Amino acid sequence: MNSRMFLEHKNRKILLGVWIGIGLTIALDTAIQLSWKSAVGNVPSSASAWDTIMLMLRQPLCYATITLFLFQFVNWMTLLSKADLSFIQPLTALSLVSVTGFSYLLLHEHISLQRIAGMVLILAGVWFISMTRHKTTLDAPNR
Amino acid sequence: MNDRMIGLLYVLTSIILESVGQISLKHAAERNSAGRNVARMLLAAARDKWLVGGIACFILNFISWTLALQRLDVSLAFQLSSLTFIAVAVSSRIWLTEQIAGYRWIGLMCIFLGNILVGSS
Repeated sequence: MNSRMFLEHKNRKILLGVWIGIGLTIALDTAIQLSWKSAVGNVPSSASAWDTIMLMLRQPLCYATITLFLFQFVNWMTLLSKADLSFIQPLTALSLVSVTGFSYLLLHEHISLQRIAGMVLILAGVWFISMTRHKTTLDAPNR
Repeated sequence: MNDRMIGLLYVLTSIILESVGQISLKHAAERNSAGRNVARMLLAAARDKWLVGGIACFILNFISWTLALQRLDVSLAFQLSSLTFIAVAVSSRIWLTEQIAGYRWIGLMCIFLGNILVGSS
């Protein structure tokens, strides 16, 4: 395999790794949103800022959310080292599509036409972004 | 200042913290990744001030978003948070010199509008 083919092969592997990482981001983001909202829902709106934080810290769901955040952090740092921030960050909107799909399939929730239109727009946006290069900057030298 | 205004300020704070945090993490990842695998990159980045700053931003973002959700409808907070996509892209262009042209801007606008439609449904 000559050097050009090697680079092309390496770039394809990196791009595949980027899309796998994005898929993992979506899955983790969906789980985080669900557990976070559940935890916040148990805190009264009249509580002060400090009381809110203290009440949240007493809930097991808060720690489950934090654990998911840590996994997300490792995955996200890996993605950031391989692709542009402006490439990968908008793609996290796919978690909206996954949460809606999850709600429809498992909870049989009704999905309005407006929501469907929103999801179609998001998928169109993901398609447009996928047509661009995943990395437009040069690798920085290590510090 | 009523609850709703305070909630809106928390959302705005959250958007700013998200943008600054993402830029910081990107700096940390870029400065420590060349020729290193993921584990070595994370170990090297652990001592980087950009990583520490980014994590601090995300912890503050977590608190700010929690306080925002307490005062605003989820759908309103969610629609407003769509501005994060724009803020992060503009920040990437300015501070990371990423090339954002043509299809990427179109995709960004589609996602921004799609997010608002979903949030308001």
